Formats: sequence, C-alpha cells, structure tokens
Amino acid sequence: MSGSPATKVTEADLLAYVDDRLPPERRADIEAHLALNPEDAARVAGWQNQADDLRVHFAAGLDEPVPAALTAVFAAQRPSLLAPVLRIAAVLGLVVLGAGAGWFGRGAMAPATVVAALPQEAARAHLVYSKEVLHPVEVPAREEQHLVAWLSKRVGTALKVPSLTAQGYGLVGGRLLPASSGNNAAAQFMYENRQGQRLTLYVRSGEGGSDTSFRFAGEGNAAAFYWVDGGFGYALTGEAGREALLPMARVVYEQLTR
Amino acid sequence: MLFRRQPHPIEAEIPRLRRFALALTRERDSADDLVQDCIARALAAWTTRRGDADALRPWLFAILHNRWRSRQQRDWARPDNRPLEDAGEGPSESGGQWEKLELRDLDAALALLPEEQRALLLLVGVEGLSYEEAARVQAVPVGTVMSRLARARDRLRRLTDGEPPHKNDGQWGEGGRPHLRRVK
Repeated sequence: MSGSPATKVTEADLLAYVDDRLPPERRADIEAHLALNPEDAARVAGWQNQADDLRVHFAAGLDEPVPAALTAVFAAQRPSLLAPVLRIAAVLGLVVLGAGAGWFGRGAMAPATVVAALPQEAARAHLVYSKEVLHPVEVPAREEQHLVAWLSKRVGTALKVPSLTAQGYGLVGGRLLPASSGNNAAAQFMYENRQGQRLTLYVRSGEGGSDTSFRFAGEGNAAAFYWVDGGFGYALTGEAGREALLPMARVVYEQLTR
Repeated sequence: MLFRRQPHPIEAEIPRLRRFALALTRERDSADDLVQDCIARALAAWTTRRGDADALRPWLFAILHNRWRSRQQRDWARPDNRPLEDAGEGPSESGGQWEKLELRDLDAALALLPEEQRALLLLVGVEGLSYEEAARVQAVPVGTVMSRLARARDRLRRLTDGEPPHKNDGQWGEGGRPHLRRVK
C-alpha cells in the first residue's frame, strides 16, 4: 500500500516539501500524507501561495538603483563611468532582454527611481484580483465602452484597451483601484485565456520623469513588464512566465504607444 | 572609459544586501547604513574568506546579520532611546491603526512580524538559501531556523487572512520588540 508514509511526517518535512528540498521518494511520502490529512494540506497550500506572493513582493526591492555612497569604496578600483550604468542594467535584467528586440531600446537606460513602486503596486493588484472567481472585475467586458470611459475619466487619460485576442487572451473587464501616485487612481484590465490563466494590465498616472524603456520585475511565478510613457505607468502582470509574457507585453506596448 | 577593471564580486551583491537589510530594519537609511558597514567588514575580511567553503552570498548575509545584531544590542543597551523610537514608527505600535490597514496588504503584514522571522521568509523563500545556510546567517541551530520559519509562515498567513495581531499572543515572543509593552 502506498497510503501511509514510511515514517512520521514532521513540520520540518512540510517546510522542506514547500521549499522543494526533499528527495523525490520522500516527496511522495509527504504527498500521500497530505492526501489523508486535510489540515496539513491546507497549511501547505497556504504556505505555497504565500511563497509566490513573497517572491513578487520582494522582487521590486532589487530594482532600486544603488546609491553612489555604497559603491564609492569600489570606485577607486574602477575608473570608468560607464560601468555603474552597465551594472544597474544587468541587475534590471535589461541586458538579457536586449537580444533580438531592438524596439524597446528606444528609451534611455535611466535609473529606475521613477517607477520603483509601479510593478509592486501592479503585482499586488494582480495577486488579489486574478484569484477572484466571483468578482474578478467591476465592469465586465460586454460594457467595454462604459468601462473605458469611466476609467479614463478617473485615471485622467484617454485609455485604450489593447487586444490580446491573437495571443489567446480575451478581455474579462476592468476595475478602478487606489494608487500611490498621481491622482491616486489606477485602472486594471483583466484578460483570460481558455485555460483560465489571467493577465492584468495596470495603468496609473503621476509617473514623474521621462519615459522609460521596458523593464522586467519578478521572481518565481508572477512577473511584470512595465514602462512609463507620457507620465503614465503601465504594467502587464501574469504568471505565464517571462518568456510567454514578453511577446504579450510587446503587443500591449505597441498598441498603446502607436 | 573602455579600460575598466572587473567589478569587485561584492558589488553585484549590493542590491540583495540592501533588500536583506531593509527586511531587517524596514527603514531605508538605516538599511543602507547597515549595508555600508557590511561592505567595509567584508572587504576587510576578504582575504580570510575560504574560497569554496564560504559561498559569497550567504557569507555576506551572515556579516550583515551580525552587524545588525550588534547594533540591536547596542540600541537595547540604551533604554532611553529605544522605546521612543519604537513608539514612533511602524504600524504595529498604535493598535487603532490596524483596522485602517488593508488586511491583505502583504507589506503591512510583514511589518508585524519579528525581524528574524521576516528575514527568514526572504532568505529561504526568495533568496533560496538552504536551511543550513540560513542557520549560519542567523547564527542559530538548523532546528531553530525551521521552527522559526514555520512560525513566520503560519503567522503571516493569519495576518493576511485578516486576523488582528492581538490574537494568538506571544506575537513578539521571539525577542522581536520586548520593550513595546512597557511604553506608556
């Protein structure tokens, strides 16, 4: 019988299960245990969801430009002015993104101060609402005209809803959200594909500074591509993975900046 | 311009050090202060680092944690200072504000965890340190790291599920903020 694990399952086992630090044979033991113990299963599922949320939450912290005071001690060894820029770019992952996609090199590689909180705010909103079964949106896609007019008015710009139909994602609808910038209002548009995977496009006003090129934030499952254009910050967030998300973010970007 | 030298390996770790320091202090200036302190110590100890045995990132995290600890001890030793600082910052201090917080706000919930628990969520869950490495960073046995981590995860889950922080006391039981109760 494979019903009961060979040895007692401890809290340490449950942790190691969530953190993926168990040998495969022990994993199977734990899975068998979870199948029979709903309380432990709920605890483990809670931890797993939380781990995803935490990766998104902490990812934004890596985007911040490093103050010169912290690198001053190294500067004596490295006379170049170019290197810090490259290093910041590398941290942001822009260098990796650069290959074969010259179009988003149009923006300057400015430090990320302008939009530091944007992907985080967008990711929080994404995590809260993309899990909603009953009320994912305030205004459904069948009232798109009303949705766009309303959110445009609140956010303070004529919003366009990009189409992702060609990528297999249909518009679910949208909602108004509080924001920490501009007039404190943000719009969220939600998309869904046939498998039920969701993407959200987040738009908020009040992004000071100049336009930026594409940036990427994310660790673990959820990831966001974000940019600033004409004082508005945009972020496309999803759990589809960076490679899958990039072409869609590109489509959105092109439709919005055309 | 083109004849630049290779950046020091520590430089590439600075964003992660800042993130870790911020998780501990939750205050940008003191976090950067801590990172600066850590870098100075790390450079001073660079030649004594055992190449392969000390993986760079956990080694740096351990130095940073150690510096944070000694600052804590220094601050606790000045009773006139610390309670005032505590009383003035952070969402946990004025109970009435809790109701106004968005209960699902992960950041607000994290702020209510003791520093060491918050740090572990980052070290193990995000930075991917092994339990053994995390234990070396925090200078405690592996068993302590694991029970601390389980407590952190359970507590954070309760908080994000909307449970007020008063429930299930012993909230600051792990040396988090022992002075709070004494502040009048």
